[in-house]
Amino acid sequence: MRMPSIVSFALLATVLLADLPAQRGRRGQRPPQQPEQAAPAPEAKKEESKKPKAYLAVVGADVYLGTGQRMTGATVLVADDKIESVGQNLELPEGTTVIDAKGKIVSPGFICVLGNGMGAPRSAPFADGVNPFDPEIKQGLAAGITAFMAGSPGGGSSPSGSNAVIKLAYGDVKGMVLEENTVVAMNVPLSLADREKLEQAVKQAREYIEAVDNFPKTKAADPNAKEPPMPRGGETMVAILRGEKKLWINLSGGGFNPFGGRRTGAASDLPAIREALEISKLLGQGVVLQKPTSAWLAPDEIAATGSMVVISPRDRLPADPKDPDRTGSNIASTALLAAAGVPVAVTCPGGMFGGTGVGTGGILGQDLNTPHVDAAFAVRGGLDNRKALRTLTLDAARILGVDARIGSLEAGKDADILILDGDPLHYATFVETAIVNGKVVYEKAKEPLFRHISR
Amino acid sequence: MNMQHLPRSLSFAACTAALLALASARAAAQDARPIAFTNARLLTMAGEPIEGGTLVVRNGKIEAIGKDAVVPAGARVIDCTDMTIMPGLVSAVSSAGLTQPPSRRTQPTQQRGRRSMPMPMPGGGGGAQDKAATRVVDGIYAKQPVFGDLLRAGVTTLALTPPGSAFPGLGAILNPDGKSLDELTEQAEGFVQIGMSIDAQTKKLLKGNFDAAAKVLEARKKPPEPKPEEKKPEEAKPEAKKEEPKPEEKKGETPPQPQPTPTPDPKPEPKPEPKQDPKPAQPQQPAAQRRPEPPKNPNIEVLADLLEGKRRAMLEISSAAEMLHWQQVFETTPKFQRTLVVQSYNTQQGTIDEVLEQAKSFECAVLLPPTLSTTPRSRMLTHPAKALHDAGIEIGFLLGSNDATVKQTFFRLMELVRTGLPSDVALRGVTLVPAKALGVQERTGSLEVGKDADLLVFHGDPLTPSSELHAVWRRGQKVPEKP
Amino acid sequence: MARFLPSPQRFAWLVAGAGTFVPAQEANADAAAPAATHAHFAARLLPGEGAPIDDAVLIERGGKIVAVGPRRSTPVPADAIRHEHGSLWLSPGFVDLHHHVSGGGGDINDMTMPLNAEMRTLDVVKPSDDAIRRTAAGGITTTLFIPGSGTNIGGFGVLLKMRWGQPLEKLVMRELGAMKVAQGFNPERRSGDLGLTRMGSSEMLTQLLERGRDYAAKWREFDAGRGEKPELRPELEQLRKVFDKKVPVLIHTAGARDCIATARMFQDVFDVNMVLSHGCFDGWVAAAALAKRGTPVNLGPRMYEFDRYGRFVGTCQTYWDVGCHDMSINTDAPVVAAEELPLQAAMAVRLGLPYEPALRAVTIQPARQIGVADRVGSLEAGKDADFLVVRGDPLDPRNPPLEVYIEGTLVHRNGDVR
Repeated sequence: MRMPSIVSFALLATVLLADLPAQRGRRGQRPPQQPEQAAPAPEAKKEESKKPKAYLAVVGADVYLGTGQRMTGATVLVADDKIESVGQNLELPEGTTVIDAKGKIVSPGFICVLGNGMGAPRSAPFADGVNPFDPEIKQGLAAGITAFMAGSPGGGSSPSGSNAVIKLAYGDVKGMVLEENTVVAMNVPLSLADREKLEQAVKQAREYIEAVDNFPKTKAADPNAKEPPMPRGGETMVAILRGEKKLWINLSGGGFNPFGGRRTGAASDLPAIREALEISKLLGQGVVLQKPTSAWLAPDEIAATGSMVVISPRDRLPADPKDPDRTGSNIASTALLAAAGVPVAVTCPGGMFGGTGVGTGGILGQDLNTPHVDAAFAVRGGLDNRKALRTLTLDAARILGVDARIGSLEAGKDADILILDGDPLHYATFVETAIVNGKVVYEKAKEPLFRHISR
Repeated sequence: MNMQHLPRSLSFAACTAALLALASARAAAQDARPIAFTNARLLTMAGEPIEGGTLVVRNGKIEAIGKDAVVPAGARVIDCTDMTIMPGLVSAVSSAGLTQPPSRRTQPTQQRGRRSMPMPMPGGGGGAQDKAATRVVDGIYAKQPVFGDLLRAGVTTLALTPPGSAFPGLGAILNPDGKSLDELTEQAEGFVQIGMSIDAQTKKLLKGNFDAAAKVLEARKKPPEPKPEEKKPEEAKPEAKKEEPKPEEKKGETPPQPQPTPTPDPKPEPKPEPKQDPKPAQPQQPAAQRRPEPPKNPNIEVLADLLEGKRRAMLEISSAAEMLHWQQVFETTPKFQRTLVVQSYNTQQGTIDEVLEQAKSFECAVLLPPTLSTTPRSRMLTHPAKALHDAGIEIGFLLGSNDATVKQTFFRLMELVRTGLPSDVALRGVTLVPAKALGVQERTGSLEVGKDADLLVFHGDPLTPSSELHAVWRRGQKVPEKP
Repeated sequence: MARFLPSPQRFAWLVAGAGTFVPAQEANADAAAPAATHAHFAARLLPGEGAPIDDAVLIERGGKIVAVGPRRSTPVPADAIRHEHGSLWLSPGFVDLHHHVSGGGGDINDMTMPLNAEMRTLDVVKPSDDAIRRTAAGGITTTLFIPGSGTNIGGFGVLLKMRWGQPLEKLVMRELGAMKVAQGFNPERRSGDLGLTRMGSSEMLTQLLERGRDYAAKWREFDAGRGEKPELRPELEQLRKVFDKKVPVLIHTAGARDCIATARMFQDVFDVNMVLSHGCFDGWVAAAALAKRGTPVNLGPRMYEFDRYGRFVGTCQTYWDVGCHDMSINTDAPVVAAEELPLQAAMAVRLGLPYEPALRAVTIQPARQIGVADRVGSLEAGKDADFLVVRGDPLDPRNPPLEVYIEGTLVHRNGDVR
């Protein structure tokens, strides 16, 4: 079902290119007498189930699809918990609840690839530990977050990890866990022995998958044939190779010494990045590089493997004065990677006052209370404003391996929608309404958090 | 309920005997005389308050009550002008006198996150227990001042709640006047305690044990078959071996019965249910000679009894989040006699009024802390008790586990009333509703003819700050002011 | 696919400029007078004081602004070197009064004695430190590099221009920028063994300030030709400047109680120039009382208090609403990165502070509070030509300063610092 990321990226790019001129048009200039533009809606309609669907429509807003495209004065139609269609002049089924969003901006909910709190337990099992009434959920929704990865991506010399993509479905236990363990992670550099073990594991997993694929044939030839046994401890690797789990590779990251300077030793993690890309080649598919400080030095190498990147545009690592051109962080990393075609997700700075949770300590602009500020810093580094939204939406979803469900406003995806009072990446923009799984779960006017602030 | 009834009558007899032996002749004579409380304001909990009414007590029972009730000849008359009489308090949830630190008290804060800790703790299930058949009363030391303190504060019926989540054991109903364990124990197996908690282990235990209990119940309902081996040979085979030693071990035990059948008549029958003994010699060998079934698990048997309607449960679900997790465990909650208990308002997990519909679906009373709550992380007050009452849910209140919390309760109720809860609901919530929760409403909880004379006599209205608890009567006996 | 490839021109600077560790050429800095005249034309100019000027020109000579105004009505000298910035904006360089990172790291508190009025950060400035470069890259051209809040008096901070890699004297704007005092919380932790309570530290502070006040008074008398020449007390010489009102006091204070205590001490009891810095937590409760006194406040790095009603109460907005208008905003770098001062102002706007005062709070207002408004903080004739070229709103983190000028000299181009 899942295709290798590189292929899917290429496909997506093609789709995007194909769609761009057609869908985007000139802002607000679309003549209403173009019925074929509204066509996707009825086509997308699926067979009605027995229970009548509850329809919700967000009407009249400028809609950022999350793919990098934008539609003016469009309608997002939601049926139960899924998006039914997005388009202009959609015909609304009878009994649709309509939210008038004229003059507003609509965006997919933000996805934070690294997070904690907001109703998620600290460790597995997640489904049995979520707290759907955690007040932090409202705070996260106020920040535009509708999903994040809780737990640990993992680490060590072989892929491991225990995590879950949590949705901020306030008051809904079942709706809160989108999927568990979509991500496993490991560290580089590896020792020679670990490297050997990894190669062995990949080889065994490949053989197993091949054997399983061929099993019907084998069985036909020999009715007594046994089903091939899963290699010992090989489940994770098999899942990675089958595209069921995303493999993250942790790099050192651009730490931030609070008092500046004194951090000249950390030269470059380019060798580590290359080692990670070697692993990617070994697997024959892209990996996710977590906080590769020097990624800006090798965007094309990363793109060639179909890998993706998690980065904080604000993590600062001064260059080594002895080798200034090949060391240190770069605020343009995100832009350079995106330009090379590498999907990037942004995360918070890792300093002592930043953090991947929503705090109430008073420091603003450094944690998940303002994820859009991190995307804004990607723009500061040269990324296109509209593409920057993808670092919080579709690309983030792909990096978590859940892009089939969330990350963009497209028919069939989960109805996780934000209604904003301005440009999604503007510092003063607030979430007015947040919808998760088709339900309105946050309204600025009804929660104490920011109700007192008016524009 | 015969067996539960038994210890009570025993203890009552013992109590009377003790009184006779210890107290003076005057006291004994007093006991025999009827007592008439006259000119009192009577808050009966069974109807409108009676102004200037008379309440007649004889042999520890209410003999007559009403505006026009006749004072019997020779009665000792107590003039209660300007006084209010209400039923004694029923504390349906408490940890009073538990010898170990009551882990359930501290656990909610640790397990469910403090104010400063916004997330639920990992699902480790530290508090999850699988000992539904263990009687909490067996772990108690009787000679503790807390019981007398509670009685003097107005608690005439006291429950003892086993601590922990999932199935921490069987709760007891205590006579706070008791001086020994026997006297203290009114019903050793008053109710099944069930505790919800947001962790995988608790959820697994809840689901697994209730499913198992449902199967046991199914088996019980089947007509007894002499030879079930034929039907289920695979199952029977391994059990058949186990069957062999049984008869020898079971020598002298009560005759085999398909299952214990508690009947309402209090026949003296020392141990009809050996499996419910907390430390039975052969806990795995219940009386079932002819039936080759797996050894009975007493913890499951207790639940089967519950499902069969022979027991009642206190079901502690303290937050909205726990409620939703409960519903995730049970799409439809099994049917059994129950009362919901909210131990404390946990705004970090949502208070119970956030899930009114779900709470309503339990079709039972809810016992709440007698306090207002707040919206999360703020001081904006909310009134969950009123919300539940307005939604048509019967509510009662928790009185805490010591006399200080009981004394505070009236002030707390005043606050709840001042903020919109009807005062009769507030008072029923500490008398009749908890009495029903414990299944003792036939005996106490309201001022009605035939019930025990468990009385609180107040100067003035109990829900005014100037009122004062003047006297506590338990079963027609005035409780001495000093121990 | 072609459309997806990066445009080489667009990203060339990002990579090429990246590694050059040579400071931007200070072409005019050392040139002997007469200096060349430069005219910067831009779509909009934010003067820092007053309304924005559209289609504006800024004329600079010898590091000073000669004229600012609309292009139509402002005469441009014929010999001026013209810089056309097209659709870009000009903004004053930012001023941060609470900055700890120009010393190469860490060296900001001598933790032995509680009162260190004889110390100064001037001695630990490290002009080659990367932090200075980054700070300038963020558009912050002037900072007050102060000691930490570990002791009651940490010493004297130095007022610096963020001219990375230049000799120290080119950075220093005023050797004694401000005396750093810390009230409450931090100095209580381990500030020697005296003054571990607020009572104690208040008393010790008062005693020293009284000595300083009397010492300064004696010298003033002597200078005015009255009285004997006082004995020179080197340890009080710096403090003397405070009481001569040549150097203000910047007081680390948070919480309403301490805010009032600070205002009482440094406004009512001692007559000095002061700035109340931080004012966080529930400090806003005292804002009305501070407004009455006209207390200059320098708010941050905390931008809100999560209050008892579950609200994000914006600190700056609350002070502003009750009339505390002498307001600046800080980073307390490294608490918030030094280059993120404009983000701090942006976050204040997010939480309800109007835009105008937010911009002023990182430009002209801090310059006034520290006593250098005649030189920096706004784009006016006669002032230092410290300005930024930006794509738009300079507070928006999406708009990096494309060029940063200090005294007419280009000190940073976007891409110089990664």
